[in-house]
Amino acid sequence: MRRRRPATYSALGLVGRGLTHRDWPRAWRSHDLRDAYDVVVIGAGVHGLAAAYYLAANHGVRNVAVLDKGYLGGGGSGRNTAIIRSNYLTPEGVRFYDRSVRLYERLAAELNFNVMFSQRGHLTLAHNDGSLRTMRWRAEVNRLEGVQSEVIGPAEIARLVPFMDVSADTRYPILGALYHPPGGTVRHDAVNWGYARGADALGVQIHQNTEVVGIDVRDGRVRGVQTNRGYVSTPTVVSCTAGWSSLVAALAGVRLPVSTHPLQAAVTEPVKMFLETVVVSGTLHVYVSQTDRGELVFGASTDPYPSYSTRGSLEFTEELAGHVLELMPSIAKLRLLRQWAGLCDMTPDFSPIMGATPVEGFLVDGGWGTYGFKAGPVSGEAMAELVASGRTPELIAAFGLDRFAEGRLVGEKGAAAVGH
Amino acid sequence: MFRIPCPYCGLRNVSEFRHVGGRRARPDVRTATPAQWRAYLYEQDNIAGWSAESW
Repeated sequence: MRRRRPATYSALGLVGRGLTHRDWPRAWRSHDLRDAYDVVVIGAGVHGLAAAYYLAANHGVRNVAVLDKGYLGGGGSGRNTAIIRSNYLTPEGVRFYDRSVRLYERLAAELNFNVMFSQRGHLTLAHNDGSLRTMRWRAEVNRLEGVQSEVIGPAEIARLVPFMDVSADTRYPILGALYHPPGGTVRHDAVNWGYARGADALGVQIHQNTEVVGIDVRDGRVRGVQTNRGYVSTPTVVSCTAGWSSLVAALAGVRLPVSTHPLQAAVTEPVKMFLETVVVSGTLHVYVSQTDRGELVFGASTDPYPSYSTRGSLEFTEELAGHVLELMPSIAKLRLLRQWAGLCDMTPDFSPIMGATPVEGFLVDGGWGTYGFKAGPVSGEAMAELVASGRTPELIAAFGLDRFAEGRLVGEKGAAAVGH
Repeated sequence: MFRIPCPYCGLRNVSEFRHVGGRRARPDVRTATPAQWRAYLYEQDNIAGWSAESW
C-alpha cells in the first residue's frame, strides 16, 4: 500500500509557504479505479469519509474505496446548518450524540485540520407548556447521561441573546428554554475535507464522479458493485448516502422504511457578530446561528411532502422571514444572500438505520433525517468497528434495520430541533 | 407553490392538503401477519420521479 505523509498544517508552515510561494500539496488525490477493494463505501460525505478514515486509522483496513456520484461533500454534508448538539430525548440517542460531540471536540487536532468547532451554547426555546415539559424531560435524561443541559427562564435567555424578544405580548411568548452549553457549530466543509485528507494519507482511495449503478448480490451476499467507470469486486459495501439511501439499498434488494424530504435553509448578508448561541424554536419552525463570517444561517422544518428537489421555494423564505422576525424584530433590515435545500431521509421513529441488512456484506448507515451531520464522526467510528470486527458496537445496537419488524422503535421525534 | 386538482373543489393550493404517502394496498387486518402489517406501516417506495400519492 502506497503511503504518503501529507504536509502538516501549522502556523510556521503558513509563514514558510507565504514567504516562498510554494504550492500546498493536494489534500487528496484522484486514482484509477482498481478491480477489487476490501471495502467499498458509497457516498463521500462526512459519514462515508469518516467510516473510511476510521477503518484505516483504527483498524488498519486500508484497501478501501469511497465512491460518490457527485463531488466530495456535495450532499447533506455540505447542505446542513452545521449545528452540533447532544441534548436528545432517548438515553440511546443522548449517549450516541454525546460520543459524537466528544469526537468533534478533538477532531481538529486528530486530523490536523481546523474544523472551527465552536461550542457556543445551544438554546431550544419553549413557547408552550407541552414543549416546556419535553425540555424538562430532555434535561433530566441528559443529566443522567452526564450531558450538560438545563431549563432556563426568559430572564436568562434575554441575558444570553440580547436581541431576542422575550416579552409576554408576542404571538408565541417564550416561556423558557433548554440550554445546552456544549452545543455549537462547526465548519461543515472543513470536516469533510479534513476526513478526506486524513483518509487519503492512510491509503484510502476517494473516487468522485463515480456513480454506483448496481450492486452485485449472489446467493444472498455482496460480490461487487457496478459503477459508471466499471465493475469493482468487493465483499463489503457500506452505504453512507443521504437522500438516496433507499434507492441505493434497493440496488441490493433491501427495502428501507425511509421517505425523502427536502429541508430548506438560507443565509443573510454578513453583519457584525451579535448572536453568540445557536437559537432554535420548534413552534416557529426555525433555527438560527451566526457564522464566523457574520452571516446568519437559518434552517427550517422539512418540507411537508417527499421530494428529491434541492431547490429553495418562495413559500419557505416568506414563512422563515416571518418567524425569525417574531424572535428578533431588530434584524428586519437584513437581506437574504442565498437559499438551498438538502435531502433528509426520514424514518418512522426519527432515529437512524445503522448496521447489517438481510444481504450479507451490505451495511447501511442512513435514514438520518435531520440529524446526520452532527453524527458524522461517531457513525464513521461505529461503522468502521462493525466492518472490521463483524460485531455491532453497543452504541448503535438500538438502531438496526430489524427494529421495525420487531417493534423496537427508538422514538426521537421529541428531540427534533423543530416540528417536522 | 404548486397546486393540486381536487376532484371536489378544483385546482387548490398545496398548503390546503396534507400529504399521506405513496399509494399502497392495505392488508386485511384479520389475516395479515405482523411482518406484512409493519411493512404496510413503515415501508415506502420513495420513488425519485413521478409517483402516485395520497393527499
